[in-house]
Amino acid sequence: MNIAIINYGIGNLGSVVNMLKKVGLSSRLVSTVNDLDLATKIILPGVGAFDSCMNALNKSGLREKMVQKVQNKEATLLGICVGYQMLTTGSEEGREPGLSLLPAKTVKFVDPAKKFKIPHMGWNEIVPVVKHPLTKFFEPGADNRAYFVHSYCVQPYDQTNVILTTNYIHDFAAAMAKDNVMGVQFHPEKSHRYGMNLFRAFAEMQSQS
Amino acid sequence: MMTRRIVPILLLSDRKIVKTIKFKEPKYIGDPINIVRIFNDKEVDELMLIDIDASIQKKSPQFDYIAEVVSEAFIPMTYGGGVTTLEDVRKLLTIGVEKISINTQTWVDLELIAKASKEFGAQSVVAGIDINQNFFKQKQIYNKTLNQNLKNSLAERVRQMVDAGAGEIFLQFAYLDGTMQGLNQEMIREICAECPVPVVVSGGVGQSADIKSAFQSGASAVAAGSLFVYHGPHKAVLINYPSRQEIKNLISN
Repeated sequence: MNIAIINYGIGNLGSVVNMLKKVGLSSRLVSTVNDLDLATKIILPGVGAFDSCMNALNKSGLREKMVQKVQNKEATLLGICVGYQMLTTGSEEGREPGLSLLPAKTVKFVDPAKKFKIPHMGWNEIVPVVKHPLTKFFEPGADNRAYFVHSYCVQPYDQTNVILTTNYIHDFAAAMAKDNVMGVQFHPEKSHRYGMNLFRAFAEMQSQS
Repeated sequence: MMTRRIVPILLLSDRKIVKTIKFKEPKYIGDPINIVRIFNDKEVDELMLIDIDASIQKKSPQFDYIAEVVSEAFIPMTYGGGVTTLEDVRKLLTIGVEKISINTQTWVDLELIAKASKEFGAQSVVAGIDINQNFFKQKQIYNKTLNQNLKNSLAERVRQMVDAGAGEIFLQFAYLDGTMQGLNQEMIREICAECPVPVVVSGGVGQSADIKSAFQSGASAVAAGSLFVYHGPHKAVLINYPSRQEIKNLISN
């Protein structure tokens, strides 16, 4: 099993590599199109502003090949944090269009009562809403938690593809999956055993879905 | 769910973890990698690593060593100490540090906060504010490296930081550090009522009741040193952290 991590100059890839290593999975940072050839599992990380991430991905030259592999079902893709938001049609945070691989858009957290601080930062409960191979190690009803840091959240056009929900101000889609495209809003690489379980499940997923 | 965090704060001096009293008298606690590994196994919410010499000695962060320490942590880490340039921030984020705390550089200008926030997102930028009290017990914003006080009110200073782009405020009561006598709950209440971004408070935490009070005062996170590295009246070194059940009790009202 070899997991390709898209290295487009954004994010703390070190943490992702470290955690994959910890659970016994090999991975490599991919920064050229050729390196993507053999990849069957791809991780798209992302931190910071939506447009900086989209611009960096566009400039990296990796976007086309990544999307093509995903659309041809040659690879399974997991977006993390802003990497997840990039899979949607776009974000209220920026002007750049998203990759439109998930039927959702990204919107700002708004708390009309001003009771909640933004960013949503810290550990929060993740609730499995359907059975999915990516979340197979999360027992329903158990105390499943993950670490979140974000000011924008993914709003699906309908609920069909939501696999995990979290409540902050309101319920939102903490993870979505559609065929071989999936994304998580939290940081599995910083969510100790819960994150390890997610990566393990990702690695064990059938490449062709 | 409202998220609340309990954060062990580790003071780095050279390649050792130490614990201070009122920002002075550093006492040796242990090896950083070892301690981070233990806290990681205890599944702590977050960790803060603050190099207490870097700014004073005008040194850059010890990037290679921080990378070693961070590779033991599968939980979020905040680093502070000697961060003066955008390049420093970039390097630390690449290493795998989640958030960068900036204090002394904000006394020069707020450019670094603004630039880092724009480039890497507000969520990765923490503005550090230290509070001291003078002979007349008046509270002042203070910086140890520069040995200076600010005239601004705390509310004003917090607003400047948030307007510049800070995604979190790290408020430390320097005059209570290591005393384990409790936090200044009044100031916490005052600031948290106004501040739109999460506030981490620290300095004086001596028992879990202090943590509970700080959450009730509106703090998003409580950071503590002594409480999590010492045990008993004689302050024997013992790395500890509350259990999930204890935490649930602390964050419930």
